Amino acid sequence: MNRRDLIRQMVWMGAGIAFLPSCVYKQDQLSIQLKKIQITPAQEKLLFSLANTIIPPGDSPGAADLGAHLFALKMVDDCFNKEDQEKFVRGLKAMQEHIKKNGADVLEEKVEDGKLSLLKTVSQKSDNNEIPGFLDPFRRLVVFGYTQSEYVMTNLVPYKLIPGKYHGCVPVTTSTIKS
Amino acid sequence: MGNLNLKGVKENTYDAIVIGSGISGGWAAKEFSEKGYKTLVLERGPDVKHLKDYPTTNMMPWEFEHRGQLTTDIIDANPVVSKCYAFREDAMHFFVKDNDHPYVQDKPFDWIRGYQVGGKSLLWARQTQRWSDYDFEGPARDGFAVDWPIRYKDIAPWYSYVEKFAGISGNKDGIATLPDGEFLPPMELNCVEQYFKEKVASRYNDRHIIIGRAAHITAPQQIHLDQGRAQCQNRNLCQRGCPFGGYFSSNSSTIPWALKTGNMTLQPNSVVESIIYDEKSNKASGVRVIDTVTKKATEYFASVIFVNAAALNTNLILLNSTSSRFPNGLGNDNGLLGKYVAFHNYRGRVNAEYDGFKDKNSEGRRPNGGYIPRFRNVLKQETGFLRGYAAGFGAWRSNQPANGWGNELKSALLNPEPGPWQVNSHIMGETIPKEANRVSLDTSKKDEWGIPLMHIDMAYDNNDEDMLKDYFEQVSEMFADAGFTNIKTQDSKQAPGLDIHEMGGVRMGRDPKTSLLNEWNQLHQCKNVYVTDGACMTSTSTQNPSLTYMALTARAVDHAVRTMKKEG
Repeated sequence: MNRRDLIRQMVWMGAGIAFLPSCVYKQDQLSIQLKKIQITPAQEKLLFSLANTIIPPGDSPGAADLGAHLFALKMVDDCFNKEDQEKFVRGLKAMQEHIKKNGADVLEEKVEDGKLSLLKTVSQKSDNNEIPGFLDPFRRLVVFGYTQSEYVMTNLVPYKLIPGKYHGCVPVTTSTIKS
Repeated sequence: MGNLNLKGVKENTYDAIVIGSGISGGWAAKEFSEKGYKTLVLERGPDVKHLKDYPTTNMMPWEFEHRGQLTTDIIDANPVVSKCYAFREDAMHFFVKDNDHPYVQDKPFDWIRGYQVGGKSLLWARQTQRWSDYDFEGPARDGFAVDWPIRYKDIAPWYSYVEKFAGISGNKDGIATLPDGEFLPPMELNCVEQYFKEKVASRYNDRHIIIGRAAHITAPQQIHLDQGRAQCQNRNLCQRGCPFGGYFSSNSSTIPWALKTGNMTLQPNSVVESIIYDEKSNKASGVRVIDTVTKKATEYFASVIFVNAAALNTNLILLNSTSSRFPNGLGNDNGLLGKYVAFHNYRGRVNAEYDGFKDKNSEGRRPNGGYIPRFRNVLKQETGFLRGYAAGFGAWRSNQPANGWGNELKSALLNPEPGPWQVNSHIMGETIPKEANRVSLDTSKKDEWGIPLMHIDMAYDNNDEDMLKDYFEQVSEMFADAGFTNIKTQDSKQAPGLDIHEMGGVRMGRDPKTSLLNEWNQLHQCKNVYVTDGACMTSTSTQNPSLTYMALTARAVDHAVRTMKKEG
């Protein structure tokens, strides 16, 4: 790793730590308080791993590094109706079992391809597959939490609180892409 | 009130009392205090000071716990107000919550309210289209309601007067149905909106696509700088309150202006229970006010009273102002008070896509949209339904959906490609005021201050259904003709009220037998009481009504002042 990469990585690790005291896991405790749904610390750990698989770290932080998995949990807890909450929790359990059955190491580091093919497989909808009831909304919320995170909205796709001018018809450039 | 001592009466006496500080009350306050009259402004809700009381105005998207979305707890507790498009995490503190101020609905009516200084002027959509004589002459020509006692020439100078102060951006389009005003530079149509405008113009002589005339300062004039307001920055976060004063609200404009004169006393947390009628002088002498915090009742007195409590609450105050002379409500000899209430039909939308201008986009966030003035039944009756509709029109590009997983997804999110142009229209239909659409005092239920609850009985009729059908047909045809594809119509079936354009109940007219207010907005039967908010509207036409309330208010204050001078 060259110096520039190292610095870059340290910067985003710093960002992750600043926004995410939750990186520090406690065995018996969740990183956030939930009012309605019940999630175990082991499930939280799985969600961290999945979020960083859905949007992985690289030159910049992954989704879980920015807390998108916890944001997703908060949204499910606060903004989902009971039925969708139950589907989410059931699907998450099914996901855990699927991983147990098919090799726990798939979510450990260094098996990037394995993780992705796992997600592609379990996201297939079928009558007796409960996983999409969890994975579809989780993916959507991880994307939402990631794109709407302070890190992304300040460093990667900057949000302009005060655009100033409006231009009705301009050539498509990166500056016309909405954040 | 025999137990009031004279000193108390004197201390509580003003030249003018204005009930309500929203878009019309703010204007009454400004006009009276600017002309040197001691003015008491009573607002039922708490104070909202410009800049200071906009808690979310500079918040970044990620600072909202749910990124703007509502929680199920809030939706479950607020089935009515949570339907409103602007009731979101960033502005919900400016809306009345369902449980705080209940009302009784015979049929579903979504009553959206803003109880605070500034009222709904903080939250409005800022569209400011003038009426024309095609609107004022509607009831007389088509035989509904009663004839308006005024015409365009009566209100035109007052439109100009309020436009200059408020700051209205717009293009001089030269359309007879939608008269031009005192405009600041127009906002821009984007590529696809401009294309549609040209396409429609090439096929129809009488259909126009224009940029909305909107209460945004696009080029500040001295009068706006004097108010401490600056140019609109296209944040499009208006509902939070604007730190630039870029759009017009009572809070940023008329209220601070009135305060500066030293003649206005602004009293928040003051619910008006009723207007006091003095049988000796045949005039209203003042108002009875309940402090919402202490629940203490106090009476205030004035030579003239302006009722600007918002359309339905103005009805409620008048209905609750009973005396031996007016047992059915102030000025209500004919029994029509609270009746012939109407609204705008906002149920219909048409969406489509356009496969062109792929190399073009818009930049910034324009707090405005395109507007299609009414084109149906304008010169003569030509359809099976009465009157017509205006429509909103807008085009935009969203990002392409980011597909996949892992690095593919991440890259798509960080380097988004614009998707196809989307176009959208929504209806703003005129509804016909009917006796059956009415508000009244509930006979048993009362609020926490002992005031009867509002009882609302409103519904759409067949005319609304037929008009909606025609809107779908016409706009779909115009869209198809422009080469738009994937055209979809959608009837939201939303209840009346969600348009937030409820009007009438205290209608203007020439004849005291068939109307409540005269051509100056005075109660026929109690001339020192003026009603200049939405309650005064004889018909609704299609335009967003706030500009007309502002103009009617300034005009009515001018009349009140001339009358007071004449009477000494």
